[in-house]
Amino acid sequence: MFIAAQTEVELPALYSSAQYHVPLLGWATPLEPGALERVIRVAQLGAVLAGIGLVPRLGCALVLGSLGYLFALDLLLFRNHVYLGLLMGGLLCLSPAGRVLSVEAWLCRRFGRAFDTRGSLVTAQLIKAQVLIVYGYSVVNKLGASFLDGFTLQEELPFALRGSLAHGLLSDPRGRLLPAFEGLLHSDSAMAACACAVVASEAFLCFGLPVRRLRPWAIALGLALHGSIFMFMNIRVFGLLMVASYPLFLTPRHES
Amino acid sequence: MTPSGEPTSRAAASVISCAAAVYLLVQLSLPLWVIARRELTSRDFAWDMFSYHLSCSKLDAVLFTENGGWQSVRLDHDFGSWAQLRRALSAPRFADYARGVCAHAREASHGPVRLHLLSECRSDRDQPAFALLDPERDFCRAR
Repeated sequence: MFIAAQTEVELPALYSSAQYHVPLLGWATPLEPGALERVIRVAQLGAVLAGIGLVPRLGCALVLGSLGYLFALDLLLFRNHVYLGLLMGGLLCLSPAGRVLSVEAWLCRRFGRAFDTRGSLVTAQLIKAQVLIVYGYSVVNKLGASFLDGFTLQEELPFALRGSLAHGLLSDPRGRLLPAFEGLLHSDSAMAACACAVVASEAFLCFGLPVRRLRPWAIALGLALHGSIFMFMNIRVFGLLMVASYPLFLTPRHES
Repeated sequence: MTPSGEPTSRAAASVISCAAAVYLLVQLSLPLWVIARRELTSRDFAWDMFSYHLSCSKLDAVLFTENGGWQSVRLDHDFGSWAQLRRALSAPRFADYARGVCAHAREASHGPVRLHLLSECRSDRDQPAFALLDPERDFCRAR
């Protein structure tokens, strides 16, 4: 969420009153650059507090309040990673997160204080369910012809590639994509195969993560899928949020 | 059971179970509702990640004023990106946007104004191009 907030601070024009907005909540008004930066700094402070586990609930609440305000400001600026981050942040806020590996837990052990154990472990089950819901609906959405025949990837990939790590590896010194890769992008059948592989991977993640026998394979596939999306499309935050929740699937049920 | 191993009271457990059930119900039904609407311009809240592509070879909001004739509205001034603009191209959202544009134009021209959206878009390799909104509809005329 820290990276997500940092991305927002680079886009002040999107939140300004000069743009047309469709607020989710009527009272959320556009922000000028100075105010936007302050809101983002609050989100980043919250992300750091939650990340290191120092008053983690307060940290999550700060992220929720600040990024939630930006989210409520404009439905036209909807982004899945912000929405997912808010849902997971909300669930973390209600969970007893950080009772083992956190600065707060360390301080409690060091000074013999009792750790605040308020919160419910049900939230851990809800985060797992949320991850499966995301993969499941992602598959349902992609079952249309325009994705499966490779059209969507063919249209979206060239734009997404421009800012990605893979672009540097797959282009010549003048920045033009290597002919072999360019050929793949223009091949309907290659893109259709790629689209089918994406759908199959997400379907396997949805059904494989909850099944103990399939879980190691699902986790490896998830890491490969989100790693490739990062490499080729420069999408970081969404993948990080999903992958960060995988350890919950490895924890015995009574502990998560 | 709490994390410290103490049993949760029956009332607290009921509240937690109900809240969890409501959360799951919303998270399962909201995407379904969005998908069922089959909107082409946005499928937000449905975990639609790059599952469809909408590209428009023609997209022009044309405004008529008595003193200026027909002119294109600078959509690039009002929307920061294609993703934002695309989400505003459903009939209710565009009508809301048009209300502001028409009011401003009416104030400046002191005469009748008209606003139409002309579009030619595709969301599929094999389908013919189509208009997102009725090009005959005058968005300055209140409905």
